[in-house]
Amino acid sequence: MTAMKKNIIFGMIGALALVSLASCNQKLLDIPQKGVVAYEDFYHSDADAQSALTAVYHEFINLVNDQGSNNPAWNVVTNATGDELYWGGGKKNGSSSGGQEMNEFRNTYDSTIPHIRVVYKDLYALIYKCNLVLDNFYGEEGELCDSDVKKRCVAEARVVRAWAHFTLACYWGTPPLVEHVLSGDARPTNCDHQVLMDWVIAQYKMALPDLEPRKGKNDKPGAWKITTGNCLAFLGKAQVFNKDWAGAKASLKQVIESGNYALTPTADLWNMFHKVGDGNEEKVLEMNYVYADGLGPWKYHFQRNQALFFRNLKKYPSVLIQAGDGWGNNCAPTQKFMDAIMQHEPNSARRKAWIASYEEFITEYPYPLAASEVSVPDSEGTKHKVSYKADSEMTKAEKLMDFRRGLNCEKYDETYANYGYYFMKFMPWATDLIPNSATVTEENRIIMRYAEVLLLYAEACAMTNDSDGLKYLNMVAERAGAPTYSALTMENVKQEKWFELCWEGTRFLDLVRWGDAAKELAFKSHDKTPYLGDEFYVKGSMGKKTTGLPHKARISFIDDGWAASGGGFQAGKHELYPFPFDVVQLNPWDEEKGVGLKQNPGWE
Amino acid sequence: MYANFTPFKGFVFTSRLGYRIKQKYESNFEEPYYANAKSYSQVYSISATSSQDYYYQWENFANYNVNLAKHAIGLMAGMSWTYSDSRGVGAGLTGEDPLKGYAENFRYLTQDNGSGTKSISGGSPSQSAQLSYFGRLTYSYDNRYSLQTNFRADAFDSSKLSPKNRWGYFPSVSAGWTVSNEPFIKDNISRDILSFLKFRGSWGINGNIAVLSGYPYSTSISYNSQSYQFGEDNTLTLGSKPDGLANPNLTWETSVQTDFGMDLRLFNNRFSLGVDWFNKDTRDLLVSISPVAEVGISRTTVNAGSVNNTGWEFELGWQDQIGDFHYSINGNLSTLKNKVTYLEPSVGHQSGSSFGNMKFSTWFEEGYPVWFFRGYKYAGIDEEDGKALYYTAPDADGVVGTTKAPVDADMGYMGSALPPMNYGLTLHMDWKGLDFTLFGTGAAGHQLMPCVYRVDHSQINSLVYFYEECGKSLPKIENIWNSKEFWSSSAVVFPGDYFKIKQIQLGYTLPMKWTRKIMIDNLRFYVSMDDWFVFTKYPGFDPETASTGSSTGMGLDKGSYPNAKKLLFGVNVSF
Repeated sequence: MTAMKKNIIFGMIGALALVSLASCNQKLLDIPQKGVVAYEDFYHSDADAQSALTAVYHEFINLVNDQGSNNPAWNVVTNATGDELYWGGGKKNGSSSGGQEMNEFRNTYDSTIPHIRVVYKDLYALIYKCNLVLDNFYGEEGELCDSDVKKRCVAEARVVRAWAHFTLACYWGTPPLVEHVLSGDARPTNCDHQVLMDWVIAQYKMALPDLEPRKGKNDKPGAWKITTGNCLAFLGKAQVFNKDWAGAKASLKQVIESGNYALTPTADLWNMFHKVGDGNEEKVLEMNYVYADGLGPWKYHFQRNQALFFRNLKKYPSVLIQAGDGWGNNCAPTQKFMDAIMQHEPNSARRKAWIASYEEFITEYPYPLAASEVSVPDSEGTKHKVSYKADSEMTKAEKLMDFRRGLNCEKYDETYANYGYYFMKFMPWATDLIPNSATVTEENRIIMRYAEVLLLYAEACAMTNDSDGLKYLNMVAERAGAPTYSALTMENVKQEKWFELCWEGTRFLDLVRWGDAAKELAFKSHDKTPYLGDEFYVKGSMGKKTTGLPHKARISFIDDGWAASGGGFQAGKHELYPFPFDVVQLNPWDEEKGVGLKQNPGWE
Repeated sequence: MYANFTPFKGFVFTSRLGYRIKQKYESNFEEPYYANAKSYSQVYSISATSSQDYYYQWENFANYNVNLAKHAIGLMAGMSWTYSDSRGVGAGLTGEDPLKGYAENFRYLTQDNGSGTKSISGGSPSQSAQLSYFGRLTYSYDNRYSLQTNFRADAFDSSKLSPKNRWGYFPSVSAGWTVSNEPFIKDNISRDILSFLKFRGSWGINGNIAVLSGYPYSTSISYNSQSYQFGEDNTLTLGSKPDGLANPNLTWETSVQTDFGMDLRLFNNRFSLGVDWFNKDTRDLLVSISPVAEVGISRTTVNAGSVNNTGWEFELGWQDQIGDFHYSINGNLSTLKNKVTYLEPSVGHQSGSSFGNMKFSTWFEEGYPVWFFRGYKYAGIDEEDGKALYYTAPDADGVVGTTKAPVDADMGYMGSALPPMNYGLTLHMDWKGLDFTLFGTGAAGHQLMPCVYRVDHSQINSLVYFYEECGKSLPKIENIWNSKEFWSSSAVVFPGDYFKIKQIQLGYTLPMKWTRKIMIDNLRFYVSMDDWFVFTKYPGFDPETASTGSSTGMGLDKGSYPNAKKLLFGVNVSF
């Protein structure tokens, strides 16, 4: 009887449990998502607008930092196809692929290059972030833009969005125009190049009234965000690209006359690309990096530095980061560029600050070398003890006989793609390093500097026979410590811009729009690749025998065979980059429906 | 913990509670070290973490079984509730000189001298829950006819599906007819000849949301997940962005499966045969897709397609005893046809895995097997110049030509890594204490793609074995060494057929009358050769492991570690 009772009681408990679980099950299954705010509760206030705009800058900095394969994609995409540098790497076909393939227009340069894909996708990710601001705080006709803060945020996002489309239009010709946040099943299609350029210009103009200006030359933060000044500079650049010379002159002149920018003095040229030059008077827009504990080191320049590190050196000058050898991209100036600049201004402050010959590299920089005794091989390879003084006590002649510096020929007898010069321009300095790191630096990333504004203005003047431009062209040359020009010709503008803005992402686009690409890039299929050796060593001895001669560049040209296998610049194809392979595969052009992406000519 | 209650005959109510708890405390102390220029640390770091996970499952179900004459009826209904919770906190301290002392008894966070950088982690619990209801009705008559119906309803917590779509309902039904128990068979055919014969059939729906996590149906704002430094100091200005593209309609992926089968045993159970045919239609397949690049978001999950799997399964066995010698031989063979039957037109197709920056990739597209290999179709060598030829895509008249410079549009199906046939063989013999087992499996009809060559890093390639073993007619290396088209073509797709002897084992069990004396019931010594012999023409390492990661990398052989040959000597002891 009691057992029966017990069973009934337990049975009732069980039934109760079932019922209670059934009735409140929805609640039991609701586990709220942590660390998020509902979409509906965001995108309302001024603070939300600023927050959404911060996400735009976050994406902008990601664009210039992101890596494609082993190299920073932005650096490759904006520079590899120019004529001022070899995309070195350890050897002709190593981990620097992509950059090398584009640099020499090899037959393997195609739509799968990861750097092209990364930049393309990052630009649209940036446009998406901008569209979030514009869709949520501007709306269709500005109906959502009900405060000054929102107006400014919308204007800044509008400029970034236009800049991203301009960049896309320059490299890809007819990329899709994306004016709103797209849905997941969108099938965007190409936008006519001229339509896109006109849209970009209209967008810059539309943003201008709501932007803040930079507050004088010393306003560093004013160089790290979108302002009236950089919007006008971008507008002027787009107008130059659009051949609207009058419009360009008007826009660029406003930047010049604002007084918010100036060329940095000649003595500071050397600082331009380093932490000490961050936000200086010449910076029109740069992405700002300041070390903060809250950000992982990968937020800074690691991959970018990797592209800059030299290869096969025994020792680095003290000013540089003491990077380990073996994974630099070793980008070096081309023979064409060096021959031109050495003829024009062999000893200009600019040339000396930004480019070092092999001998200068060995003798003109302090080295972290104490007095030491080293085993040095003789001409037969027999080793003898040799005592060397500390670096500070050595004469130039002694430095040139120092076994401890120069090429590390034991690794490679000759260094690939080097004409006896090193690009010092962007080489990271020890003072740029973030705390507790030997390779990661925090100097800012320049998007545009004032010298480019002056040269764009000079170009617009040269195209319209307006002598006003000569003054500004010479301002740049004079600051560089280079010979000034007596006439404002396009030839002079082109040369000055080449020297001043080498490796700064302008050259390839300039060659294309000037119609000079086929002529100026033809040398890339001649396959005369310079290899750098050192007279100090017996050639072919892998550094195991010395000649008794001082360090001196020994250049040998080797045909790497790219031309033979179909490489080299092809007019009508290589002026534009291919749309990334996977992007086209996912959204191929559909003739019937008129949707999808048409691949650029020659890249199909 | 469980309890059974039987209020009346045939009715059992069971309540079962399973509870698991895991507690962990971990502490760590590191001193500065210098290994080389790239691997060094100048700081001390000390940390401690504590975590606790618990999991419980509560099941309540009632069973009612009743036998009325030849009718056997069973009813079952119940529910199950599963909940898991995992939480922990940690703290750390790093610095060049963060502690008051560094002797063993000072290496605790409490000995902080105030100069180091402190960090905290954790503190955010992660939970998951699942609620299910289920019921079953079974009926059988005279061991001849049987019928079973099942029904279950499942729901997971809100991190997977929205409350609107969280419930999945899955019915199934199966029926069987044991012919050999029919009087007209039983009475006419000896059991020594026809021992057993049964026909079966079933139909059911099941669901899957395993791939979902992280609230994929909703878009929230990842609050303060973004940052930029607007000023000169290291202050971060924080910003927010949506965490993805919302898909509020996301729902269960379901499969409808139909199965017909037969079990036959003859000659006093010495011969056995099983035959099954199945057809499985998967709908609302959950696919993680990449929207087009211009959308600006990398991935989102959708219910995008349908996949059909159909095939046969055979099992054939023979066993017999001759005096002390007993042997058995069993073989099985299954076939599979796999096809994507529908893919949301807006999705079009999806590309999965690739290698290096080659143009081939695995591909998901209507009308083809899932994640097939897509690339250029190699057509052989041009005799005049020794260069590789490829088939072009059919032109307007459907004519396929050849070209030396294929374009992207010429790419197409070059094979699938899903074997249309899998088979296995087991041979077993024992005599007195000796036993011998041989067991092998194989697959046939599929393709594999050894990723051995990189055009962009051609100096790292070593192709001797590839050329020697591939057994194909390939162009000279100087014609293809830097051709992405060639290395993205069917020239580098190979049949994956193999048969592998997984195990050959010989054992000896000592007679029980000896081992009993030392209190051992069973003492067996054996020697086994595992994964010893492979029969294949595939030039890569191991056709069995030749896949990369998830399903999208199926058959892409990026040098997955092969199964090692193992020679084992072993002892089984039981008391």
